[in-house]
Formats: sequence, structure tokens, C-alpha cells
Amino acid sequence: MSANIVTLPRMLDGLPGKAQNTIYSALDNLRVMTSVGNAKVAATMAPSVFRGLILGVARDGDAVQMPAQHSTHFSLTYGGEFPEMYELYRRAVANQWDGDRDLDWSTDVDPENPERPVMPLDYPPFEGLAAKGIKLTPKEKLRFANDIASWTLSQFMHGEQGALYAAAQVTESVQWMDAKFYGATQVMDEGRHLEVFLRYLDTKLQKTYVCNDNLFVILDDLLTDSRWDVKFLGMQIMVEGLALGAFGTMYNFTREPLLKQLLKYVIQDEARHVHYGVLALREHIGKELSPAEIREREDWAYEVALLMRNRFLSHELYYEWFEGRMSLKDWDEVILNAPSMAAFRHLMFLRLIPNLEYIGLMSDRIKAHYDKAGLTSFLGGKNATELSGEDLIRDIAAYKAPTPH
Amino acid sequence: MFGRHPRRIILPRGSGPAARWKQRPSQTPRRVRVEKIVSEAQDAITLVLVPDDDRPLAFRAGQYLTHIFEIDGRDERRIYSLSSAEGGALACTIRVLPEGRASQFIARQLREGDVYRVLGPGGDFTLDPAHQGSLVLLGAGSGMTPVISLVETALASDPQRSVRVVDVQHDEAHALFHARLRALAQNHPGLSWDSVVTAVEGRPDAVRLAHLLRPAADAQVYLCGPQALMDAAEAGLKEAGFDLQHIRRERFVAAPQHRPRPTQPVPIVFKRSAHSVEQQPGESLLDAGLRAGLKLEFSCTVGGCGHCKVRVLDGEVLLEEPNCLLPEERAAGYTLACSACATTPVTVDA
Repeated sequence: MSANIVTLPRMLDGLPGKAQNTIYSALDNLRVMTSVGNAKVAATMAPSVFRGLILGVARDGDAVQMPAQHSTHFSLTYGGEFPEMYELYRRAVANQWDGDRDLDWSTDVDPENPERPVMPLDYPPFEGLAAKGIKLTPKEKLRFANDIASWTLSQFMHGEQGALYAAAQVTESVQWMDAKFYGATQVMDEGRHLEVFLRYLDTKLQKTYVCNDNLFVILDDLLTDSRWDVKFLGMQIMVEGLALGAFGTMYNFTREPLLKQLLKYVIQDEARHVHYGVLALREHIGKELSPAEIREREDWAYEVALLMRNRFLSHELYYEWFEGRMSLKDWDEVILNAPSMAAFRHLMFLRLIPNLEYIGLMSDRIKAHYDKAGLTSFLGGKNATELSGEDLIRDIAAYKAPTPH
Repeated sequence: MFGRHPRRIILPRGSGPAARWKQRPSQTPRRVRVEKIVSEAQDAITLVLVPDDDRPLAFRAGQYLTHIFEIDGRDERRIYSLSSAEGGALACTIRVLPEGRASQFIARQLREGDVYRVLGPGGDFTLDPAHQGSLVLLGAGSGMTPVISLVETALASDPQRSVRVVDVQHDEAHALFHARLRALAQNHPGLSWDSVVTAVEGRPDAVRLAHLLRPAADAQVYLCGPQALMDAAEAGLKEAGFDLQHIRRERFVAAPQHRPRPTQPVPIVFKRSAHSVEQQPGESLLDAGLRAGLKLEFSCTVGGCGHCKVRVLDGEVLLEEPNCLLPEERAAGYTLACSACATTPVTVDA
């Protein structure tokens, strides 16, 4: 019999809701740290996990100091040609857009306009919430959908701030001169992305959420890691992959013309960013890294992929809307099973897995792990060197999110 | 081990959006390609344009572009209003004047496929999204250009809206957009339209204009045409008891005549910004201030809109004529930063 086995739900039974959530959160955070199989990976991620999840530094104060450990690679001879990357640089220079000039900021964004909703009502997981006993009035549903839009765009903005600094760091660290040229354009791109998301939130939605703890962990880890290729891998492949999934989902759902146009421009830039990442990493991983170093990076990418898949659960919205009405654990279940999350995961891994395969981080050993996580169906897809910005937009628009049932 | 809670969820906001977003659009011109040249009426041409970089150039109905043509090695700037509905093609309609340097260039030399530069769009002669009442619009001569854009846009968004148009033209051959108005009237019972031909009936006076316009109390009135005609319309509506706060006017001025500018640098003090700038030969007050990174208001850059109006506190400036500055503004010491240059060291209130 099970009388002596104390399971987590039973342990929490009878405790007040707030205490249940606190224990669930703490154990969940602990699970993140202990789930990392590779000890080296766990050791490099631990400080960021501690700062982000345990101390919650992103939830307080005006700024966080992130001490950077990388070296600047200053070229004395201006060697290190990489013609494909120079080509990418020329393309980036030719395709710069202007966040002020090219977007119609005079567009009247009324989040409650049913004809042009920022976040339509088929996005939020209302059915999942109802199954947990949460019933919202039509007015509350509209307000909640708008808050999801603000939360999502806030995370895009925080991610872009991280991308701006990471792009600057990799421009310093990378050894090819052509990569430095290209990197400079990416710094400009990320600055512009930060500008347009900030402006949209500030002037149109007028509500901005704090940086999500789990996003903060990834950004903190990248920006403080001393190895340039880990920054590259993290920023250009993992976070850009995450961004493509998230931007693509929002692009497909929103009916608000200014936001749609804004996302289209941003996605087209992201196509170049990932292309740059795979060019640099395929060369580096194939020629410079030892088998042990490759194994560590494979593990690191896998852990970050799972972190991205499982942990963007918008807890800020839970605390704003449902604390005291349902448990945090139930909320996580609702979000993980939401059709919009399935769309996000599909679009993210559609691009991420073929890129990891192309750069050489998909050995049979790690493939078995991805297989267990149900992600190998994306193997063999097109990688970033085979896709233009237009291809990405077309594929995103062609993807039909599963309908709620 | 336990995350801090309760937590900060929303970032604090100030009293409104950041001031940086309020800056005017940059003065960087866009290149546009002439896709089509359409003969609109006698002495009137419509240029259908596409941005040469294929990025959209969004505009509001009733706005204008500042067109920059290189004629005989010199940049000539002209404001021409957009005549297409919001969201439609980029089309500007131009009245060709017998002595018009730019309009003659357009009529005689500009060809489909040519590329030139534009600034903008600019102007606030636009629909108020919060106003859902009836619209009454007076367009005289090429003043019909923004009017047709406003009418088509308003009816596309609300096909049942009550819209009244009064069109004042010299004669039928010069009349603009009659075919478009007729097509609109067929499908929109709320649209009424009167045309005055001055060659036959003479110029309408204040009483006649007030009778033709006859706005309801909830109406928004738009006036675009020669200054005297707009003044007469406004006087007539005031006499009829209409609230002048609900009238919008678009100023129209002829192209400025270029006058010689100083050939030596001249110091300018921007008092409120606490900046001193050397105006270089050929520069306007606006050029000098923007070069120094000051956040100055401007829009059309050719003395036609009044957005760059500044008060001169000390010193002499040379202002190109004609321009849209009103006599009372001149008397109060104002000039237009885009069309004025300092001829002696000056201090301006900006």
C-alpha cells in the first residue's frame, strides 16, 4: 500500500495556496538544476540559475550588473577571410530598415477592437482554464488576451536587449574579420528591434511586464560565459531559434497591422542572424573543438532547448490574474497544453533542430535524448543557410496552429 | 532557495510614453520611383509613386509629401498633397503652373521610371479617429487633392457616413476628381456634392459658402484652398453660429523665391536648448539646429506648414517669401526656421 509514500501533491495537501505555490516553485527550480545530466554544463549554468530563479534578481531594482568574461580578439593583420560571411554582411547593409520611418506609428492601436485585435481570443487557453474551474467574463477575456500580448511582447523586448549585448560581445570575440563586419550590422539590427518593441509597448499597449526568470537565466548565462562559441551557440542558434518560434506565433495570430509589419521586419533580420551563427559554428565545431568539447556543447544546447520548451510559462500572468484562484502547478499544466504553446514549440524546433544538425551538434548519442523528448521529427529540415527571410515568413504563415478542443 | 514573493510583475510607468517618441520624423529623404503619370484634368497631373526600396511609405489621408527635384543642378522642394485613399497607392496630384519651375519640370521632363526623393509624409489635415459625426469639406482648385483622399478614406471606413463636399473650380476643364466623386455618390447615399464654377458664377462669398457648406452641429469641417476663400468660408460659418473649433484648414502657399544667403558662417544661439551653433553658408536655421542634434519641430521644410515657427529674440534673419507665416505672427517676432537664415548673429527661442 502507499500509506508511507509521501508524494508531492499529498505533501502539499492542506497547506494554504500561497505556501503550496512557494514549495512547488522551489522544488521546480531545484529540478531545473538537478535535471542537467552533464556536470560541466550544470556547473556553468548554476550561477545564472541561482541569480535568476533563486535570488530573482530580474524582479527588483533598476538594472543588473553581468560581469563579462570574454576576450576581445583584436586583429593585427586583418586576415581571416570568410567570403560567405562577407556576402551576408553586404546583404545586411543593403537591407537595413528604419524603425521610425518604415513603420506607421500613427496607427491607432485599440487592443479592444474586435476587427484588429493585437491578440485574438483564440490564442489564450480559455478552455484549459475553464477545466480548472476558472471562468472569465467576456470583458475579462478581452483584458486577459491583451495582457498576454503585453507579456509576450515584453519578453521579446527583454530578449532583444540581451541579444544587443550578446551581438556586441561576439563581435569583439570572433576571429574572422568578415564576421566582425557582419557582427556590427547585427548590433544595429538588435538595437532597432529593441527600439521598436519598446516603442510599441510604451506608446501602444502601455503595459510592460518584468523579465521572466527563465529567460533571464539564459541571457545571464550567455552574457557571462567566457567562451565565444558558447555565446554564439546560445545567442545565434538557441535564442534566435526561440525568437523565431515566438515571433512567428505572434505574427500568425495578431490581426493588428502595425505589429504584424513590425514582426515581419524583425523575422527577416533574424533569418540573417541564424545564418551567421551556423556559418561560424559549423566551421569552428568541425575544425577546432575536441570530441569532449563538442559533447559538452551538445549537452548544453539540449538543456537550453528543454529549458526553452518547458519553462516559458508566463508565471507573471498567473500571479497577476489567478493567484489564490488556482495552483501554480495547475497553471503550468494549462499553459503547457495550450494550442498556442504547441504552435510556438513547433515553429521553434522546426528551425532549431536542422540548424543543430548542420553545425555538428547532433550526434547519435544526443539524438537519442532529442528522440525521447519527441523532437527528432524535425531532423532533415532546411537549415538557415538554405532559407531566406521571405522563406521564413512564408513557412510561418503556412503553419496552421492546432485548433482548441 | 525560496523565490522572493510577492514579486514585481509590471514595470512602473511614468506619466506617459517617453519623450523620445515625440520627435518629428527624421529629415532623411526616401527615394521614390514614378510608376505612372496620369493626366488628371487640364493642367493637372497625378504622379503614382512607389518607394524605390520597396518598403511601405505609410500615410494618412489629407497628408502631403515634400518632393525634392534636382533641376539644373539645384534642389527644388515642393509640397504636393496625396490624392489617394489611406492604404492605397502613393499618388500626388500637381497643378501645372505656367511659370512654375517645379511643375513645368514635372510636366515636361519627368518620365515614368524616373527616381527622385521625397520627405514626409507630413501634415495634420487628417481625419480625427475619435470623431464619428458628419464631415463637410471645401476644396478649391488643387485644394481638392487632400479632400478626395479624406472623402474616400472616410467612406471606406464607414460607407453610411454623412459627407458633404463643396468643390470650387475655375471651369469644368480644370475640375479635379469629378469622376471619382460621381462613382462615390452612386454607392454612398450619405455623400452629397456641390460644384461651383467660378468662370460662370463668380467667386462665392461668405454667405454663399456658409449656405453651401451648412454643417450640422456635430460636423467636422475641412477647408483647403486659397487663403481668401478659406477666410470667407470661416467668416460665413461663424456668422451662421458654427463653432470654429471644429474647422480644420490646410494652408496653401506658392513656392518660395530663393534669395541670396550669407556666404560666411553666422553664430546662432538656441536659447531654450542652451546650444550655440555656427550656421554654415547655404544652411537655414533649421538645418543648423538639426545638424547640431537639437530636437526642433518641423514638417514640410519649404515654409508651407508652420511647424518650424520660432521666435527671434535678437539679431536679423532673412526669410524666403512667400510662406505661410501670418501677419500677426510676423509682428510678434516669429520666423520659419526651415526658410530663414541668420544674416547677423541671432538668438532664437528654441
